[in-house]
Amino acid sequence: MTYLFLGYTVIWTAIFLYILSLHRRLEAVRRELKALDAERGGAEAPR
Amino acid sequence: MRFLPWVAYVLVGLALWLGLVFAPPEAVMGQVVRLLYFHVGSAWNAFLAFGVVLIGSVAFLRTRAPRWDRLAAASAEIGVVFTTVTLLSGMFWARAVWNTWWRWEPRLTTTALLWFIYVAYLILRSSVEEPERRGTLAAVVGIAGFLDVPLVYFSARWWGGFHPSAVEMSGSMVLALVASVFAFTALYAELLGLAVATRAAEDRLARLRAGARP
Amino acid sequence: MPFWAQVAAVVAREWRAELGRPDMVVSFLVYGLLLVLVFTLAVNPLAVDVRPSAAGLLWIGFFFAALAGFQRSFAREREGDAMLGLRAAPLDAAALYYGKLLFGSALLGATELVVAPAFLNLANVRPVSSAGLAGALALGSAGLAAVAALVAAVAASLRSGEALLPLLGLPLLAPLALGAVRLTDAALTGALVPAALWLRVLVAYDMIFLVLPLVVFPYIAEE
Repeated sequence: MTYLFLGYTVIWTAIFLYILSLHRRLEAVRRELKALDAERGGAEAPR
Repeated sequence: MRFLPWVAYVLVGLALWLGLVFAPPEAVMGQVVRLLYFHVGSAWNAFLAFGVVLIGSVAFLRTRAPRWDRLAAASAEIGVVFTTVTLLSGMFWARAVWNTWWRWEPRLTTTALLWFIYVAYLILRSSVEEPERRGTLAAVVGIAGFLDVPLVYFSARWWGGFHPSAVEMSGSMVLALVASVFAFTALYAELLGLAVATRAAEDRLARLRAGARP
Repeated sequence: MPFWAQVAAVVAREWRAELGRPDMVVSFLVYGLLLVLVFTLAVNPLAVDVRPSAAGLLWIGFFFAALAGFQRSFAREREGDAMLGLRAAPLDAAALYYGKLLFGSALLGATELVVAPAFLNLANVRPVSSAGLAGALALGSAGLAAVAALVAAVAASLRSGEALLPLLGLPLLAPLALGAVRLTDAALTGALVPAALWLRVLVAYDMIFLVLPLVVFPYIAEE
């Protein structure tokens, strides 16, 4: 029972952290892209 | 595609309920059998992910289209995550049932080696700047690594070992297992889309930056 | 130029380079002997019976020696920018790989002829079957050289390639760590192993990694 609990905790924490990190990475890049686009006044159309 | 995250997370929730509440404890292992549902699901995801790495690698070498490289890279990353989950859940299960954290047994050996191969693959990727070169070298390692896997598996099998491949399961346990495999497959698809999109955005950012500095 | 002539040209070029500065021989030999020395110090064969693990220790030495030696072979291309020069010459990229592999394997074989007896003497192991030992070493070394050369070629085009080499190479060499070591063990100590099965693993391994570069090496060499 202890190991079941520990196992579930560990695997779902790992999966959750990975999903979270992916979302954060995507958000960060999107923010930078937006900033870059704004800087150029929309000179470069999004590809 | 917009519904994919919802499908994935609802399925995962459902699988969790089936595995934790709906399915009965097993006669010999007791409650610990509940680890197996997600152990099998993540192992399936890991192999699926590394298969996709192989496909992406071969396609990248043939076509030179960056999107294949992004697919391989994203899938390798997810594969490593699920290999880690497989190993960890397996270790907790083994501690409870075998009374040891680890056994040198074919599938364990193979999975551990897979982990090392694809971690090396990811480290290799992080140490090359130039995208085309990175894709090419990574593809070669992706292909060689995948070819290594069956050899490791059979070697480890003849080395001797034991893995429970067929546990006596009741109908509701099979249902929980199948649900977890489906849920994890959907989760894989969702994460793959996310990871590929991240890499595409990163590549675009790098291109824009390179263009800004002539 | 036919393929075999190109391979021969690469071998001749390697030979000349090696005469000029014996990078590979030094790497193979020094690594091999150094590991033998360190193993002997670490395990102390005077106090412990090392016979059961002798084959494994020997092969770990060969693994690192092969990775280091082939690393020098491809780093040489980089330093002289000869990879570029070769690509300009009408030379098949695969010929470059197989030429280097052929030359490197010969050197590796020669190194093993020195290192293996040295280790067995230090470790006090008398091989049960010398012919079997030679066979196991030859079969294992073919695959070892093929993989080491491929991985070294990949690492040569990286900034931190040397550091990555064992990380990339050792997981790929794992089937050898099982197959070649078990066969060598059988030849050294007469241990009972399913030799036919291990032979099949080794032959399959050798074939896969001797043929794979034919397909993938041209991609590595292009720049």
